[in-house]
Amino acid sequence: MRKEQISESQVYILIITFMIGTTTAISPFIESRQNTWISLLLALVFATPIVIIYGSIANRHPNKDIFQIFEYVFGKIIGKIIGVFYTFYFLHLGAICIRNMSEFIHIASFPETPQYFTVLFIGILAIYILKAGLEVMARVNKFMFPFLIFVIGLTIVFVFPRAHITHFLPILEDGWEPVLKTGHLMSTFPFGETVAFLAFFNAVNEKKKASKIYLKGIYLGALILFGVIVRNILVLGPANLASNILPSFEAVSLINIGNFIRGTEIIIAIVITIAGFIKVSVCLLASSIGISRLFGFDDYKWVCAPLGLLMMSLSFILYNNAMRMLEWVNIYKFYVIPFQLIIPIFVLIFGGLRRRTAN
Amino acid sequence: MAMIVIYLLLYLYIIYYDLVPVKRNKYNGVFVFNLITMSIAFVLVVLVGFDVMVPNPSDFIERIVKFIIG
Repeated sequence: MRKEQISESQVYILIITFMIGTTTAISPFIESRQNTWISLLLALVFATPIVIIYGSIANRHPNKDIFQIFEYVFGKIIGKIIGVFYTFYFLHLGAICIRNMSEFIHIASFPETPQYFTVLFIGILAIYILKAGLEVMARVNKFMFPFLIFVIGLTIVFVFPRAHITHFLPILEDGWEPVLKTGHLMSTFPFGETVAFLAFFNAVNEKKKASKIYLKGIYLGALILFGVIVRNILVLGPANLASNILPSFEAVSLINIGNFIRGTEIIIAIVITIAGFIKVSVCLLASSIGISRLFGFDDYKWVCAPLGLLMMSLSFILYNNAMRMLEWVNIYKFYVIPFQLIIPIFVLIFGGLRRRTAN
Repeated sequence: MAMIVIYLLLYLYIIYYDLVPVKRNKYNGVFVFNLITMSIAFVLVVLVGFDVMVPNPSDFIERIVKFIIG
């Protein structure tokens, strides 16, 4: 099988799209309301060392994916067991993303269309792009990226006539607690989720620059998220932010310039759908690589279709409704701690010891 | 019912273009894995299509997390 290779720029653009994927679609950051921008900055502070850990892991094992690293560091049996948990996590994360996207499309654009139809198309598209390979996915993303940025930038400019600077006030009305809670949530969703990229970081050309690439990706992603969050706060205000689960869609739907430029929410819905589909594809890729490593298959493309179908089926049974989905975020931020923080720290420490004893 | 029929068509398509070539090329391990995964996925689709409550992983994870963090 030909070894796939992607460039440095393709990876950090992939990280940016992955980050803005479902985060801009459905906002679980209701608690901190007008202080969400502070939470984002705090999340960036929390996430920076975590991402440096991911980068260091990739730097130390340039020719291995995360599942091979587990086997190298912890031995074959424990490595495989950890690999099973990670594969399930990526599969579960993909199912959550599909559900987020289908809920978003159902609420925002097609309330009459059954959700299984939306899930079907997102799933088929993710399977199709993975059958084409990682390189194609990275190239498609790089091609779409300027469009995503242009539309997000344009909406930020267009909502200015409706923006009220007073919506930022009062700052820290309820103290630091809700801001810190949201900061913790944001550090896991979406920053910590970039652990999925370790599954294919060995395909990057510039392997020695992993930390730099990771940091570039999350900082640029955070900059875009900051723009989106500030736009939503300026337009909607604290009261609307607290009651709205689709703030981006609501904020952009208010654009009306001279009765000529309006109805732009459909463009932002397209952008969110594209970014969400890329995120689902990355999760499916990571879980396919995990399965192919666990069972010793030569190519991840052989298993991506069945895993994609399983992901779609899982997305149906995850939650009963959208409100349950938002509630589950409070569980999610604790559930992901072993995958995003504890195990990577152990991998870094034991990997270093292993290398020292090997030398 | 419409859901089950639409998904059945998708599964048949994937069986024909994905599973059969795997079997034809004698990748038996991959074939067995794919068959089992697709069977589980299709059973879930049928259960959801008939509105049967299926135990989901999120509830199970929630119970574990609540047990740990209290």
